[in-house]
Amino acid sequence: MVPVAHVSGQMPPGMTRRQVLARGAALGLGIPLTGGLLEACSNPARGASASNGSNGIVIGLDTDIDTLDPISFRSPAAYETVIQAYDMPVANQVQPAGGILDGVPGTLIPEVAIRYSIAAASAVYKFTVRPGVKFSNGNPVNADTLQYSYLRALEGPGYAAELMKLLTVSRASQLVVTGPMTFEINLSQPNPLGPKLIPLSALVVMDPVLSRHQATKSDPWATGYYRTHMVGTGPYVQGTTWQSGSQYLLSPNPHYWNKSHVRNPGVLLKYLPSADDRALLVQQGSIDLALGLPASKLDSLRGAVGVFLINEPSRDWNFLGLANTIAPFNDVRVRQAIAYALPYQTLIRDSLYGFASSVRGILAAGTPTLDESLWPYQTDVRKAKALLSAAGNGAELHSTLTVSGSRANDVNTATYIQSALQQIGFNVTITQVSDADFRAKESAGELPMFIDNWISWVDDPFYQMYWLLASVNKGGTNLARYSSPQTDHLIDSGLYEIDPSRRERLSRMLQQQFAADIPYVPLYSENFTLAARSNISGINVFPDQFIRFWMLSKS
Amino acid sequence: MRRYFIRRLGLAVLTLAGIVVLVFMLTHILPGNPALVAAGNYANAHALRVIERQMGLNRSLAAQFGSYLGNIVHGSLGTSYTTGNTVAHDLFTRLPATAELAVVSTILATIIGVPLGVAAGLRAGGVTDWAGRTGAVIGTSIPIYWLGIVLIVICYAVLHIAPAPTGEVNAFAAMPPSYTHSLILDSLISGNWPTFFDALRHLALPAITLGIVETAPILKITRSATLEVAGCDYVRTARAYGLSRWEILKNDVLRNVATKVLTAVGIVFGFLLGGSILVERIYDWPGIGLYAWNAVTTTDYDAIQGYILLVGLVYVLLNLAVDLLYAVADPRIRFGSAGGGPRRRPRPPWPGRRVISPPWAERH
Repeated sequence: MVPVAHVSGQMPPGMTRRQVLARGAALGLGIPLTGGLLEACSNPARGASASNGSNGIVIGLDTDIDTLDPISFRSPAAYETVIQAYDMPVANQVQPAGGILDGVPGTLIPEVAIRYSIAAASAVYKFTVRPGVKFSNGNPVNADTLQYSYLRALEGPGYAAELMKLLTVSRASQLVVTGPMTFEINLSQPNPLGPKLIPLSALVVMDPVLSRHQATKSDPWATGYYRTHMVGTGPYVQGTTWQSGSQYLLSPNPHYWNKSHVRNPGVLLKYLPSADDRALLVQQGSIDLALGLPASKLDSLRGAVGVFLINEPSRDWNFLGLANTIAPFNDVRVRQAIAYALPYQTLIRDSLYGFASSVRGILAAGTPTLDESLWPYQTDVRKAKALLSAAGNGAELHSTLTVSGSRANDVNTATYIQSALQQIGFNVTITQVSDADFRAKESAGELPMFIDNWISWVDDPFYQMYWLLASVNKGGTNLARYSSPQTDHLIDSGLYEIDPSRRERLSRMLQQQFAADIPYVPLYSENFTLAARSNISGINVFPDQFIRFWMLSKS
Repeated sequence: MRRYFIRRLGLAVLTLAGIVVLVFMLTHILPGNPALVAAGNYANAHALRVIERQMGLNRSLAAQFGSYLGNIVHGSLGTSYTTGNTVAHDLFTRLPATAELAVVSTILATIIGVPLGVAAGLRAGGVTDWAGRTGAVIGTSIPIYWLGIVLIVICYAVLHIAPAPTGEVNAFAAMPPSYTHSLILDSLISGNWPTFFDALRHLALPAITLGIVETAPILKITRSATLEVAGCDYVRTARAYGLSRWEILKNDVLRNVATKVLTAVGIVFGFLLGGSILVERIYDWPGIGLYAWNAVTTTDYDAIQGYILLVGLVYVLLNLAVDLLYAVADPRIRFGSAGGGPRRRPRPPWPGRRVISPPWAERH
């Protein structure tokens, strides 16, 4: 009985070893925790402040980085990040416009190339490499570097090859090293797209020494390495904080050749998928810039203390996609009826809260050769009803409109479209899906009706029409799966036409053809918008519709 | 005991094998082609085929299952196409952040839930019981995302007593060298006090959010267990012997309540180690819950599979540990199994030792 009595709870004098350990652990855990919580509660100003007083800039992103390889990135965040770390041989010049710095399409300034000759009427582009330019790992840049960079774009496993094809470079022999620091690209023909394609960040300068070191037999272009690493000649390098799906720190590149142009000590990119979070954080000053805010959130920030909004026209062409191969949209009368039924001004005013501009045709406002007089579609319910009645023989039509749940503006717009189409007897069911699901179904051609957007990196009518309308891109960027021999012929004729007046005539013919066939219904052009703290200056937008962070500064 | 241990271990291995098969089948019968997502809009049919080949999607389901098993055996769990790393690496580097959250919120919930539950159970029908039950009902009913958002609005946006809900630490904080991938531990080890305290401040609100929701089940289980034990004969007998309330509480009630509470805390902790997806998403907490969210929204097959497998593994191991602890704590299981008899589940509260011991043994 005694042993039982002993273990039944009689406290021996002093503490046992286990008790000492337990109390020690509790103390060890408790002190820092209590300290931290007290610290949190006792320092409200610091608790709410943005970025610990440094002049580094914190940017809230709406999309995440998928891959950092310049020849194959897809998400806007990836593009935005890559352009901060790499240079091109030449870049677009910027000029002040509407309160921001605007990159001017086709006007070039030297970057890695100190001298260049690029002209639409010429088929030979010549570059002289700027002496002393180095990659962030210290490797020098020379003519071989440029040759390797374009070769990787041409033969590597990314879509940069498509851009090289548009540049009319299809063989390695067209990329010629003419001296230690001089390099030439011999195009197959004079190319009006050339001066606009060369500054694209999919065609950046990359390090051949590092690439060859990282390459393997199964991965000759080191895509596995570049997927998660950026080693460029640009203003920034990957910082110590680099957490996929969360945050990315861009630190100054110690070897950057143009350090005086960098106006901040670093940029922290935070992936914040919730627009509510981004709006709240910029309002509270926890982030300096909020990108990708939907119109409703931008509207809620109007007049917010310490915040200013940028709202400038852009080339973000938003459309209602109609699967041209699926009934009832394989009937052009149905597509025309829809185009007449939609309340365009209401969409801009009520769905987009004024953060959009009207579009009249296949080209975004401001695109060269755009002729808005060729666009016949104004909201006309009577005409829409007549066309639909003729198409459906009086039967009620029905379809499903799919939108990506991550695009709040599209979700808003869908309800206005549903309501407008109901008025003409076309019933629409709205389906919201995840972004990944939306992209997969859209690419597979499974969506009869959907809302999406297109931003041409190149400000050129034929560039936009080639990607959206050419049969060769059906199932890729030709999301409506539209196919017209006449349209294909006009695109082929105009794409490389050097004569401006002839090019304009071909463009007008294409715009007319688009209006007649109406494979997509253009809705509006979402403006270039962002919300920024009032102490941020140097906000800019380049022809690719992205911001160069090194121009941003914080006072 | 050994036989019992081997049987439990065998069952755990079988459960894991089942999870592996189920995870693979579920992710592969879901609609959607990850190659299409990976390829992007510029991709033509050829580029799509190349990506499908790279991802192994052109092979038969059996072959894909084979390479999936190979990845598990090699410990890589495949490659996440969104991060470019092996899934094992991603999970390994993110698990400590989730563990920080799980540990602190479980401690908070236990500190609040157990005393409240005991008090409510001992004063059944009284004000404390009413308050405890109301708190438990509210805690169970509140959607965690709503609670998180409300706390952010109140503590961050209105009162300014909490830092921005943007992860583990302030922007541009000096990051310590990564020894454990736990920011708190790493900053503690490296003596980086500003980052350490900053990390604690960032941990507070998500941990409180989870803690509030976790408190409810712990409180409810503690209360019902206390109520049950307090009504047992041996407690009544102890009272009849004139033992003090504290003695009875400490030696008869709490000891017998402890098993049930430990089980509940263990299960809740296991659930949290799997990552609270919503809380991590709301607070931008870079744990495995946020990783899972990103994987699902980008149809990242390998990452989804790896995450589910990890959560399954955590649950299986936790259940195994609980089963083994039962055996350690309850001799009936230990000896019953050793004798080859049917496995007996513990039926706490087992009779207190005071009942076994005659009263005079206590006195002398």
